[in-house]
Amino acid sequence: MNIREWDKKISKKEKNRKSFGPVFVVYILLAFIILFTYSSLNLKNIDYGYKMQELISKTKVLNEEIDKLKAVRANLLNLDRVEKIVTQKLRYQHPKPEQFIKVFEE
Amino acid sequence: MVRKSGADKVLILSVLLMLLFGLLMVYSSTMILAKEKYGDSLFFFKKQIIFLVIGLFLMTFIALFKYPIYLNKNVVIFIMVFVVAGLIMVFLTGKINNSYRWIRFAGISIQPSEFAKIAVVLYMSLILGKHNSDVNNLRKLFVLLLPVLAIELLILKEPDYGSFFLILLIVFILLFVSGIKLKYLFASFLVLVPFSAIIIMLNPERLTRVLAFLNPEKYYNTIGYQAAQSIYAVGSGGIFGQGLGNSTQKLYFLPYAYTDFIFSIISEEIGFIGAFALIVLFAIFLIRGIAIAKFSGNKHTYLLVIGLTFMIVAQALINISVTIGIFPTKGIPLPFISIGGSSLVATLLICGIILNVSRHRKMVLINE
Amino acid sequence: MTIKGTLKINKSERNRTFIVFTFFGIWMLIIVVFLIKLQVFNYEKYTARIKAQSNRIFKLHPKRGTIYDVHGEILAISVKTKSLFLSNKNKDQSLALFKQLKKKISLTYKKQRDIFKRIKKGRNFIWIKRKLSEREFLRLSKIKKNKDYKSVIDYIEEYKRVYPQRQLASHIVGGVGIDEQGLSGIEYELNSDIIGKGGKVEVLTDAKHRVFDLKYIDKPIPGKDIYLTIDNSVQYFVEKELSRVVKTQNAKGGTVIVMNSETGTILAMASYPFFNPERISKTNKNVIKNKAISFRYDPGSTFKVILAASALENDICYPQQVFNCYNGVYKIRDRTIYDVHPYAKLSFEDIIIYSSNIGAALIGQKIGKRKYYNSIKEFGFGAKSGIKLPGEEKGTLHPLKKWSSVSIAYLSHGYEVIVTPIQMIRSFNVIASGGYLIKPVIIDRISGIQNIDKEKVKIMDRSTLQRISSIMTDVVNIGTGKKTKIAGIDIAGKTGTAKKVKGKKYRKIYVSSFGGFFPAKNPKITMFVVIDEPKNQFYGGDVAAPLFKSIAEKLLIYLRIFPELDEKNEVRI
Repeated sequence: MNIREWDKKISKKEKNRKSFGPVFVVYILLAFIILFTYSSLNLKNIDYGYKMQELISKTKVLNEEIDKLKAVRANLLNLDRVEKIVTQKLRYQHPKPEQFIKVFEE
Repeated sequence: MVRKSGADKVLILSVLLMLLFGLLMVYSSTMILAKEKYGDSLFFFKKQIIFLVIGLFLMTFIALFKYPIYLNKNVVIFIMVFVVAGLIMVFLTGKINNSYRWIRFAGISIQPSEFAKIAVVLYMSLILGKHNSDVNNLRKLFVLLLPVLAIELLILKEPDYGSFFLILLIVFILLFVSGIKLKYLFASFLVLVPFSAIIIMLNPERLTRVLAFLNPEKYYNTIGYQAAQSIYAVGSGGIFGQGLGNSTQKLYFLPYAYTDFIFSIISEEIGFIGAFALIVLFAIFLIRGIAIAKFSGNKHTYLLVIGLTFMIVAQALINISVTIGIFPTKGIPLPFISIGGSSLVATLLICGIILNVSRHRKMVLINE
Repeated sequence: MTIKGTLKINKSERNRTFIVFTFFGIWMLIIVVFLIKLQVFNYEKYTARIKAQSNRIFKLHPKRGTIYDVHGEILAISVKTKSLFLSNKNKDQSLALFKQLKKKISLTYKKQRDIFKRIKKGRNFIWIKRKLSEREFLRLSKIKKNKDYKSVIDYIEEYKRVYPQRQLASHIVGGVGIDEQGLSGIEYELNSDIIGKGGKVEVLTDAKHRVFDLKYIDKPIPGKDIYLTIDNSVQYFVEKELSRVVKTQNAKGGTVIVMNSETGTILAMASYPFFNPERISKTNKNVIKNKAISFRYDPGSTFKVILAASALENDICYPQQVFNCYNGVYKIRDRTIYDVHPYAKLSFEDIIIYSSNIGAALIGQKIGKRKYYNSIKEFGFGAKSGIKLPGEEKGTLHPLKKWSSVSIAYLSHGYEVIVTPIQMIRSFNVIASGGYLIKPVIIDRISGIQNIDKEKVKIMDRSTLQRISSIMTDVVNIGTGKKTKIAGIDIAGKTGTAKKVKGKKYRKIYVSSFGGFFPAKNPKITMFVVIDEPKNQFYGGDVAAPLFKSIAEKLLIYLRIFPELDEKNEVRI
């Protein structure tokens, strides 16, 4: 094969490639961006999953805490205890019948 | 007369595809981890991009060399000396993950063994490609191989069995291609196989590794864990995979999912289709590499390109073979894909050299 | 730069390259074959492996619903607690550890010995104490932090039923066992509602056991919250007064039921002795029984209200009709009926007001078996009231054919019939509610849904009601129930003192009772009081009536029902 023919053959081939190459690169980059976005969506899904589960478990703990506090509150409102405080500590007494008054508004 | 032709475009495209593919997989396999560890989901991704840019710059730089200085004897010897120095400096840095592999330098870590691979191929092609070299002159060959032996021993000392085995493989391939008599080759095998067997037997850790490889389920809780998890990941990918980003194995089940075991995550997320496509890309790379070598027209560049091409592909195949349980775990990254600055830069340097040769092929034709 | 002095590539080199290339090709092929094997043929196997390590299925235990009073005050609530267990790996270590543990938590001696035995036997899993109190848990934290013991003791989270009001309304609320199963009261009756339904959840976890995805296989249904009609405050002072009276009378027990006259909802229902639901497992079964719905007794004179209602409703008597009361001794066949205070003659009204047994017997005979029987049935005797509480007794009302010739005389003043307090208050409430037999209601709403399980049957005429009501008011004003009288307010009621049967014979042990409602003209509250075996006094008018009064006084204030007051207590502004 003579060099000139070879040269021509090569340059023809290269011309085709030149027009094809950059377009191909753009396609690849485009595909990359799409795939990147797609995978980042999936990854965020997992990431938010973690966060959500963390928050859910926090809610659970807080709800349990609320229940405990409710129980504590109810314990404090135990009527025996309240009565003791009222009658013994604060020295309140039950009203006697004659202590009732009826108020008329005129 | 020197005439330039464009660099090999198919090779460039396949490399580009693999690089972008790698970036994608690095992002996918590290996002959750990076967010937890560094608070930045793009931590590893950004790092990889920086090395990618450095690597691409170096690749272009080398590909555009007017004169192939990598063929120059003095340059090659200089690189060899540099690499050996690096491999010695490794021992001053201290152990990371139970081995001396890294040099810390101005805030970045460099892995000299990655560059040693290139140096060895440069050196081998130099000594075998010379007009007066006779590969079958054993005494001379032995003397010439001494620097390679030194590098191999240093790498063995690190220890980095993956690189050791890879360099050994390439040296044999180059010797084989450059026409060494088969009986010498067999003879050296006869020496090497018992030798390596003894080395393995002497070290209980290595022995269990091999045993774990032979029976991964039994060693599942200890050393076989990683291998088993890798196979689970690959197997659960099926034909079409779980979808990009959907791997569950990377969520701490599979250690080093983003370096040595990234192929497992690829298989899990994109399934057989993705894994097969990647292997095809490496096959294209191999074929183009051999074609470039053939067209380069002289023995020195031929051996150089053959060596470099086979090395990258061999590394890839070793890595993949490990992830699917054909080979025992080695600690060797997947070229173009795995995280790792040194590996990526070294791989792109290799591509730069191959591309530079491909640009000069017509020059050789004219010489003819 | 031209490359000089290099060798051309010869055929052998290219051939050898091809051999290496072929070797690589085969290598790739092997890899592909392996991939096909793993990903296509073994896909299911490895998917299962991955599922096994990242998918976990959890059982979800539902939280038991909360029980509230009508105003939303908590009567029973479940809170998460920790239960301590020991993994017995090393006996000596376990024993040493347990010696430390028992200092920090309260354990009975028997339990301690039990645990010692179990450790020595080498059981693996040993409960140390279930449902620790908050204080015990805090005290244990130091031991738990100790590295040697870290893996030996651990906690399991469990719900614990807490009753903040202790014994308050214990018979209504009931209690639960160690596994939160309802044992008595509402806890038992509505167990299936309160308990909810457990669920199953499948979670995806990473290797660090952190969950990142969750899918319900079986959605759990949380236990429903129950709102009772009970008013904690009313219940409180009812219980307080009841226990005071039972103690001063040295009685065996007692029951008070307070009911909204119009709707039949129970405001308070107390039976002495009370118990603490948290200690239900250690409580005597007899104590746990809700006597308000299960105490069977002869009603005695309170039953005369039914008699009077029957007589008037059937137009057999009129209030002023006079009866000969035989001076307190009335022979009928081989039996004799006595009056406590002998009377020669009494009007129909006065028979009720002064509670003459003889008069009642005469009225009964006048009404006749069949009509009286029908009236008693209409008033709901011999049948369960249908209140949503477990363990209700239906009493005994013999069918007509079993009545002897004297039965009518005895049934007239409340013998030969066995009733329960809830039946009595329901029958009294017929008069208070304007003639309706109403099913007593104890549940106000379940999880916000109003209880619509209501039954109301009109069985009496308004004119009859007014007459009975005025007779009952006179019982309090001038009759046997004088000790109930509260200035400025009309209370209608009836006393009862009945002998109890012991060993098939009526003995001198009594059940004193008083039932009534107020204000008589426009009844708001119906109440029934029963004291079982009072020892110091025994007449209903002496034992039950004052208790009725003391509760009524408080109720009036609490419910803002103000009596007509004296001039001096009126302030004009």
